[in-house]
Amino acid sequence: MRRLFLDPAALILRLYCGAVLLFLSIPIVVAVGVAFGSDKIARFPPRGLSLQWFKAAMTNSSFLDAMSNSFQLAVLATVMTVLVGLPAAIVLVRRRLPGQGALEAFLLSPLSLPGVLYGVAMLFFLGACGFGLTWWGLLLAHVVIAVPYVLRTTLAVYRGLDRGLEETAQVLGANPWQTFWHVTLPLLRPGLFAGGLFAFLISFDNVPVSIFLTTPNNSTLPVTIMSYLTSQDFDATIGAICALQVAVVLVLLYLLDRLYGVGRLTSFGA
Amino acid sequence: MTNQRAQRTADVELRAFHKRYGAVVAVESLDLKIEPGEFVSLLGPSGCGKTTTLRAIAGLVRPDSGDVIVGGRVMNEVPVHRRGLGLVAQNYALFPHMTVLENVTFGLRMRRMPQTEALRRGHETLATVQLDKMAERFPRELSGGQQQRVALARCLIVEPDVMLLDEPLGALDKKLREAMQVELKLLQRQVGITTIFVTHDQEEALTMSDRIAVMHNGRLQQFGRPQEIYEAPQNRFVADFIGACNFLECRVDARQDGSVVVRLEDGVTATVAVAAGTPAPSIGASVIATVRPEKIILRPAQAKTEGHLYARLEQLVYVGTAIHYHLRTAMGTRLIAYRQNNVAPPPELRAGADVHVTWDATSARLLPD
Repeated sequence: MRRLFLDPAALILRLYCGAVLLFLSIPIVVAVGVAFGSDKIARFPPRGLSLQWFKAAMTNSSFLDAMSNSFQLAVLATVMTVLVGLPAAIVLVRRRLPGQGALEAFLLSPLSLPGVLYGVAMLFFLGACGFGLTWWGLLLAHVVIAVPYVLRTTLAVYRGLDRGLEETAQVLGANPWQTFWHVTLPLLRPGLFAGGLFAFLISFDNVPVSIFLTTPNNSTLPVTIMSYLTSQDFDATIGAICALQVAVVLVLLYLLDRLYGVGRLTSFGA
Repeated sequence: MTNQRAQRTADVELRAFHKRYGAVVAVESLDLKIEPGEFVSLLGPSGCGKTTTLRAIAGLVRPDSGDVIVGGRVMNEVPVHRRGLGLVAQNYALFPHMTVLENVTFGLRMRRMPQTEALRRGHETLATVQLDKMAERFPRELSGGQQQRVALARCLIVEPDVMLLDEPLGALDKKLREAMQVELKLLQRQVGITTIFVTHDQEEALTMSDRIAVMHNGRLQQFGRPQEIYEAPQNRFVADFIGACNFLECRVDARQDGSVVVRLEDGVTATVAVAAGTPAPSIGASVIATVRPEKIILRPAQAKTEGHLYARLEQLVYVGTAIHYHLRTAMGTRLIAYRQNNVAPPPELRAGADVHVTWDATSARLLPD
């Protein structure tokens, strides 16, 4: 190990990795750090420690409503995304349909479409349908942009599966439904969970699409943060909100890890 | 229990089975009848249609035309899971998310057998393949040979009418493969189950099968006992694919009872057997005689005698149990001869030497077509 440190190439690699990690984490450290400051204005590093901004955030009903709304939206969007992505993956991998490549490209296309463009388009579309700006329209929009993530991870896992597994199950007496339930679904689980996690985060974080589709009554957390930042002299409450949002994600990841093991979600390694 | 299974075992018949993929013909008008309890290998190089045939019997491939009949029942419209078959797929296809016991009891659980009964039978079956201690392990924790036995146990536990094996030994190393061949064959005998075994390994097919169906380019080339296939190949493909074989182009000189005298190169003549049931070719006809390398007798050539076949010894290959002699005749025909190492090889048989090539009159055969 000592030799590794002395080797210049290894040293450079370590420094490089360290720099990348630092670059990724500094904004979060700053935002969370600001929240613990006692200054009126957001400042880093904070002078003096206090929890007043957390108190402010926890008593600010627009932030709390937005967070609760974002959470519900993300959970439901994740469920619906899986319900769309899984059947799509099955059709794309196991069926032979004309235009299969086109269908796959179409389902994955939200990945390559700018969010703002899609947000505007969705706004006009929902309006033209007479759907208007409702919570369900927002949910629909989130599902569309999240589907590619579930589809991609599930497709990758499914395409890597030995076809003989499903075939052997059938020959040994499993009907198509039993084959799906006892063999296909458990084996696709890593892809579904990884994709579902992405879907949750995509929905929970989204600004460019949500900003066109939210109303003051059903604003999401990122949109509320945005408007708070632009509409008034913002104080460190914003830092506390960011810290809470990070905490929600971390707690979720932790729970998933405890319940299933993040390692197990992505593979069947021992 | 063995009796009960023996009663369940079924015959398998393919009638004019035909399957194409796009422009490629996978299997062409295949007729095959496999007796109850028989161990039949489908043998051929990759792309010969053997796997397509197996998959058609399983119901995983739909015939373009023709019938798949198992136990007297036409199976064409019967879904895969109701055919009552067993399968050991290539690479075993053990379910990685299930323990060994869960894998083995899979078929029983799908048939909604009560839990306790399924578990009891699962342990019992694992014991027959000496894996009862591994019941709670996961497949990835087992060696290749153990995985193979789990796959076999998972297949046998459902007491299938027919067991389908798709190159189940392909992933094992040579030693283990040979051990498993014997084990598998013994187990099959005990259970008495009709077994269809797909392989491209001719040695494996010869060792294990009651009968072998040799396939090539989607067509059945020959269907017979291993000895028939080896000793009396019906065409050049079968002769060449099963073991090594020398092909000698020659002309018929005279016809005898059950054999012909042929003229090889340089006026050399030899007596060659004609397959029973095939008419002897007319005198002067151009034919091909076959001789297996182990049937060729090599003698040091002191003085060349008119009418005998001589060849130059080009290369000797030592393979442990035998020496392979690569020869070339005066006319340029290449021959190969094997000589067992049971006695020391004569020193005169060295590279560059001229040798006298001969064989027993019954060892050379005329190819039927």
